[in-house]
Formats: sequence, structure tokens, C-alpha cells
Amino acid sequence: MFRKKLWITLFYTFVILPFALSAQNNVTSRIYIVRGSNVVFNFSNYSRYANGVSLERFTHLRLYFNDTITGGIPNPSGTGWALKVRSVQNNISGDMWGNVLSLSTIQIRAHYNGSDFGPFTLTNIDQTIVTGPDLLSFNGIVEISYDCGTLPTNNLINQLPDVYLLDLEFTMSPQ
Amino acid sequence: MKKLIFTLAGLVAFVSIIAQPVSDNAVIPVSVTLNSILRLNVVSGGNIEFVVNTLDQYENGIANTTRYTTTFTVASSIDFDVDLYAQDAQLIGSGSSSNTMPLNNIGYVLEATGTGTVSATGNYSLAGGNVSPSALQALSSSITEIISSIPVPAGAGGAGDVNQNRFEIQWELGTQTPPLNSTSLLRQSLTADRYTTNVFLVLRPRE
Repeated sequence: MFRKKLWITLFYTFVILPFALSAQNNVTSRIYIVRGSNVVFNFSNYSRYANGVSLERFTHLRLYFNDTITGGIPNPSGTGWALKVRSVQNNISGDMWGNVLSLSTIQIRAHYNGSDFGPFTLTNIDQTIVTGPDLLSFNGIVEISYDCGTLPTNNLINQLPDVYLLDLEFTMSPQ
Repeated sequence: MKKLIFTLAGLVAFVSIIAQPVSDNAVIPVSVTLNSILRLNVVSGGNIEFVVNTLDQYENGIANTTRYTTTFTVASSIDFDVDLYAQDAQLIGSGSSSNTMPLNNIGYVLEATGTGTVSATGNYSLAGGNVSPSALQALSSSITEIISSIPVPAGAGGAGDVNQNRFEIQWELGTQTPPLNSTSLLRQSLTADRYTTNVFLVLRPRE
């Protein structure tokens, strides 16, 4: 009886489990901030209030993506990768007196592989800003541009002077 | 039975490993610094000097001309008001400080000469009225709000650049037009002297 249990254990440990592991779908997503890890909009003259501030291709994100199945071949059911963005907070909050700005004050654009994507008005819900079909060892740079108060509907005239902060979360994942 | 349990356990582990997508995140802090922009610039007419040297001028005063006009601009990121007041309660003689002249011999009219509008639904009111040029005002050492932004939604707000917010203060002396001193300079028997005071223009955020 003991030997039977032992054999069953050994069978699952050395046959079934390695098979399960070798047959799995390997998805690897990695995102690194190459530059532009701290975004600052400084409204220091009236022209900036009137026209807004844009930071062109300010943040560079290096993306890695791999979606394979057994034997390291591209996952036939894979659809590629997606880069998403959202605000961690519900609004852009000031340091003083509870001042807040709407998230819609900020718009985000992406530049990848010679193409422009967006603008995307910031919300606290993930928005896909760039996608790619690559499955095998994708390694690319996406450049992010930011606009703050550039639209007539979201300019910052008459907003209270303060230092307003929020956190942007970029997510690299399968589509 | 045990075989069945092991098989199911292996299957569950297999499926769960397959179904698990992997994602990665990066967080970038964003700051928006709004510096207060409140700038008032006297473009011309920063030193107004009336010279009374004829009897007609003593009797009827000196009306406004471009020579007696102060032009200033405002650039502001928020709605604003502008106050005006004289430093002294009276004009003080340079030759002798005992020589004084009542401030209300000097009057001024305000006019908005930029693209901003003066009306109840416009950008601002001038000296409490919604017309440009304003009614004549007598100079006073009391703080007088001469420009008042009309905030949105009632008005269009005063926040704007120097092209929008350009104003003139059109000075006059001894014209006896109400509310100025109704007695002519001649009848006041003022001692000949050079009478001066400073007039302050104070730009402040709309309250």
C-alpha cells in the first residue's frame, strides 16, 4: 500500500507536473521608464495659462512582451500587447485648502513606431493608448507626450494657485 | 478515488497556470504648479503734472488730454480688482509742507481700452458702474475700487492678458464738475507752489 502511494506521488511529481509546466502559456510583460519619470507642469506666466503647457515625447517607456507556448513558439491564440494608462487618483488634488483640478485637464498622447496615438483625456479608468500584435520577444520604446490645460474647455485660467499632484499608472499587459 | 483527486488537482494547476496573464506597471508622478499671475504695468502717464499758468486755467481748470492720461495694463491668471488711492489726505506743497490743496480738485475718468468689455455680463465694471468711460470720480485718500471683475457665470471674468485688460485713467484738475470741488482754484486762493502726492494702483485677486 505504501509503495503504491509512493509511486503515485513520484508519478505526479516527475511526470504530470513537469508536463503541465512545460505546456503552459508563458506571458511576460515588462515596462521600464527610460526617461521622464517625473512630469512637471509649471504655469509661470499668463501665456501658459492661456495656451496650456505641452511636454512633447517627454516620457520614454521601454516595453518588453513575450507570449509563447510549449517549445517557446508564439502563442497561436495570442493577440499581442497593450499599453494602458490611468490616474491612480480621482482628481488632481492641490496641497492647500482642498483645491482640486479635473483629471480632464490632462491629455496624453503616444508615439510608437512612427505613428501617433491619441490624445486621450485622462480618467481614473484604464485606457488603452497603444497596442501591438507582437508575441515573440517584443522590445520597443513608446514615447509619451502630455498636454495640460491646452483646450479652451480645460484651461487653467481662474484656477487657484497651488501645487497639484497625481500619479499616472501605465500598465503593460496582453490585449 | 485518490487517483481521481490527484488527476483533478493536476488539471486545476495546469489550467490555472495557463490562464494567468502577466502584466507590469509603472507609476509616474505628475505635478501641476499654478503660480499666481497678477501683474500691473503702467505703460505711460506714470507722472502726471498739471501746470496752472493762466487765469482761465485757475478759473476753469485743466481738462483731460492724452498728456494727462495714465495707461496701464493687467495680466492676471485669476479674476482681479484694482484699487486706487492717494498717499496723502491732501496735495502737499513742495515749497512748504504747510501749503496744501484739497485732493478733490483732481478728478479722473476710467476707460477700458483693451478687448475686455464693461457691462453687467462683461469682464468688469469701472468705478462701480457698467459703462466705459466711467463717471467722473474725485481723487481720495480712501481706497477706491476702480476696476471690479465680474466672475463667471454672471460675467466673463477679468482674468486675461494685457490685450484684454488695458485701461486709461483720464485725469483732470479744477474743472468743478461734480463730484469735484465746486470752488475754482482761483477762488480757493491757493498759494503758488508745486503740490504733489502719490497715487497708488493696487492689483489684487478678486474677493
